[in-house]
Amino acid sequence: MMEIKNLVVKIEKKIILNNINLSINSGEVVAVMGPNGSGKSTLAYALAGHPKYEISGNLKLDGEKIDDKSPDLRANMGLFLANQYPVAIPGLGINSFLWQVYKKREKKLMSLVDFRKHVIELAKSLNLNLDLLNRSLNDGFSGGEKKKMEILQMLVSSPKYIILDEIDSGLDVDALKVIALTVAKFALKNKVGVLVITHYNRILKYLKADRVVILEKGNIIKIGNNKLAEEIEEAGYGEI
Amino acid sequence: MKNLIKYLVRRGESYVWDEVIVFDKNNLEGETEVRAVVEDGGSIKLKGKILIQKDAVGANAFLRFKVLLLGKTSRAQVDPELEILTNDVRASHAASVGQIDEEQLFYLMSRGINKKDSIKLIVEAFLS
Amino acid sequence: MPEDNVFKAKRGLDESVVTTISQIKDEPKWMLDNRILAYKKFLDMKMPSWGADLSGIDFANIFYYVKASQKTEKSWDDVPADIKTTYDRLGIPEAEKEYLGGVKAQYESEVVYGSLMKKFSDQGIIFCGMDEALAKYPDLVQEYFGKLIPMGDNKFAALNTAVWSGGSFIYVPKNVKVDMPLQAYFRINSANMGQFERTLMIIDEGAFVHYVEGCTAPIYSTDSLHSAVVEIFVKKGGRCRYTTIQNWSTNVYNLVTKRAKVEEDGVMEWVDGNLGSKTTMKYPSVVLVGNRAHGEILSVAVAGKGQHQDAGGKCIHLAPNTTSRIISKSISMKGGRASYRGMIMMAPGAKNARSKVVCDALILDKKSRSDTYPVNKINESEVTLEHEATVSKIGEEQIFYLMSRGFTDHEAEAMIINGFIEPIVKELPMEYSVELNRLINLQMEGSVG
Repeated sequence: MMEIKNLVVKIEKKIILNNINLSINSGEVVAVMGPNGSGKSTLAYALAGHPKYEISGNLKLDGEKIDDKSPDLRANMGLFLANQYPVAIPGLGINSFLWQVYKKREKKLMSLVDFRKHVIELAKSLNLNLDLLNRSLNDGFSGGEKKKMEILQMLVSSPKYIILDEIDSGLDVDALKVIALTVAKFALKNKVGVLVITHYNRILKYLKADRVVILEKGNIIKIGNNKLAEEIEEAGYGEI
Repeated sequence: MKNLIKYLVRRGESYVWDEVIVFDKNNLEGETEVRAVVEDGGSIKLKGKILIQKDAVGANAFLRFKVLLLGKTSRAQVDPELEILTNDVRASHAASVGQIDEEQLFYLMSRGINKKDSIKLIVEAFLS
Repeated sequence: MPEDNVFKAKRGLDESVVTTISQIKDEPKWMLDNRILAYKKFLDMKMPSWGADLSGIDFANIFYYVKASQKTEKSWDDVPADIKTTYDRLGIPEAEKEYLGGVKAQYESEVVYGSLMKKFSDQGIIFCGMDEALAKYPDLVQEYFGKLIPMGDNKFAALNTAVWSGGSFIYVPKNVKVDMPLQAYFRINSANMGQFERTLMIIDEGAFVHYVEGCTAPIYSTDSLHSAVVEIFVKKGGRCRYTTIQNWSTNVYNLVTKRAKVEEDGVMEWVDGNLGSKTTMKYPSVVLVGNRAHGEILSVAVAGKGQHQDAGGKCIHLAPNTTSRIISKSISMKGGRASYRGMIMMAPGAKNARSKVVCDALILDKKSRSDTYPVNKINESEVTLEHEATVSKIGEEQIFYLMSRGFTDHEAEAMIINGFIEPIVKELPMEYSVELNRLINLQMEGSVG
């Protein structure tokens, strides 16, 4: 279980998230929705341990405290963050990078040759252009390609908990469907806990949420199920 | 703080722009751009240094030189320099020298504007 | 032949030293006359008024000629501890360590190399030491020696012309493509690591050669001044790539003049890695004299504690349709200073010439420094020039991204830096690129703080 208790997140002394309580079980999909400025992305960054946020409260992964742990230690425990705006690292070749990410988590390694083949299959399943695998990480990639690259990394890093930070933003209909179905299938098969942060209902059509949480100005204001997401689709956030 | 300096250098004219832009703890942001159009028989020298001092933590500095050479004997020298004495900064510069873009010229002429006037429009746009 | 014992103890330079160097080598008169003239020029000329601080050079206290065997009067104990540690960390084998440390004069791979040399001479390729070339091919040497870098070019070219010893001579006949990189490293005698090497290369029409010198592991040198001259002539349609990785110990002033003249449709590529020395001043140049000639300078410089790497390149466009490209990547850390110094010159008549320069610098900490001093002289209107430079530290978002993938902050920094220099490192022969990455990672240890 990923437990969030009494989480307060500040940036330069300003409160962005106010007393958030939420837990995500292994195999559960929880959607966090809200209007712009509600603090959704801040939640993702705070969970992953981004140094620019000051946090207080209690964060636990499978019973172990993570609030004082650096981002790499959290990742080593099985936390994966799919970024909204993935950064580029010129000169860092994707093939060797994926291999290194894989080795960080997996105990029983397949051979490098098998791994390369595996990565190609995963890329194909995401409809990701195979030429991209020979390039530098996210360097010159389109928005959709970057999002797919995040998911590709997720697929080789054996995560236990995944946070998707607005993975749907900037994606065309086909890409959204492929990514959402890939995550849904992967999470189900591996009993992964998923926190999907989104503004829109679209992704939840393919990645069904067990719970939907609405965030507004840093506070959780409503909790419901898929129906709640549908209401927002019809009537917008103002009605909630 | 943004600075845009423009030159239109005519035949027989020669200009030099030689400046040092200093960044320290009291001046952390700055963007300077110098654009010059050099007619036939004119010349320009642009020399600029961005100097970022040790105490300019968080500085963000940018310097750009853009030169358009119009005539066969137009001349230019562009020397953008950087001296950076601390690391938590972002400093970049760019310089480009070229002639009128053939594609732009063709586009305007294909709209019925004669060559002389097309060039005039492109130069105006460059300096605006 | 006069005794050279007189040189064992003699420091400093005067005309008798120059004369005796020439006599010991039994050189033709024209070379002796040339040396004397150059020595006089050296005395006359001023130190450069720009560039790095050279005030620490003590000309009177340098050995200007040391016979090969004398160089081995050193024991393993004399080699500085940090250099020994680096050799260990890089996994360098015993025999190699002793050679690099200056303890041994010869490297065992001579036997392997002998058969390669036969193959080359069958193709008409000449690859030998400069001293040998002057003795065996005096006319060929005289035709080109000093024609691209005359003694009056700068004070250190004058010095080199007066006291040069060692270096390589390469001649590649028409249309011959040398199918493996020629490595000075293996053509072993200590003349290779000499202070005043003189290298001359002639690539005839349609020919190709890749010459590699230096090595990534630090070379311990007691000589404090290294001033080499390299002249390269690329004829019509020829291509030459010259790769240097320099990692002299940090007591050395490394001042090098390197220039290539490129004729019609010719290509010259300089790949220049500057890791060591206390101060380096080096600006590989290409003079593009023929239609459609192309020049490239790929430069990577790492300036650590107490170091100043003042490097870059020059491209002179003298003919139409010529193109040039300079990519410079530098890293300064622990108080080091990396400066890019470059020049692009387009002469009248160089119609449709194009040049692009990209300089990127990383400064890892607040004690270090980075500079860019480009000069772009455009005296022909129908040309295109683009120049960009960026200086920054390692991006926090990049560090966070990699850490969120499970890499420690040190690992993340190393990955980002390796990515930063990748465009240049990928042009190096394989063993160099692996060593280079490891060496930089070693240097960085302790630089995060």
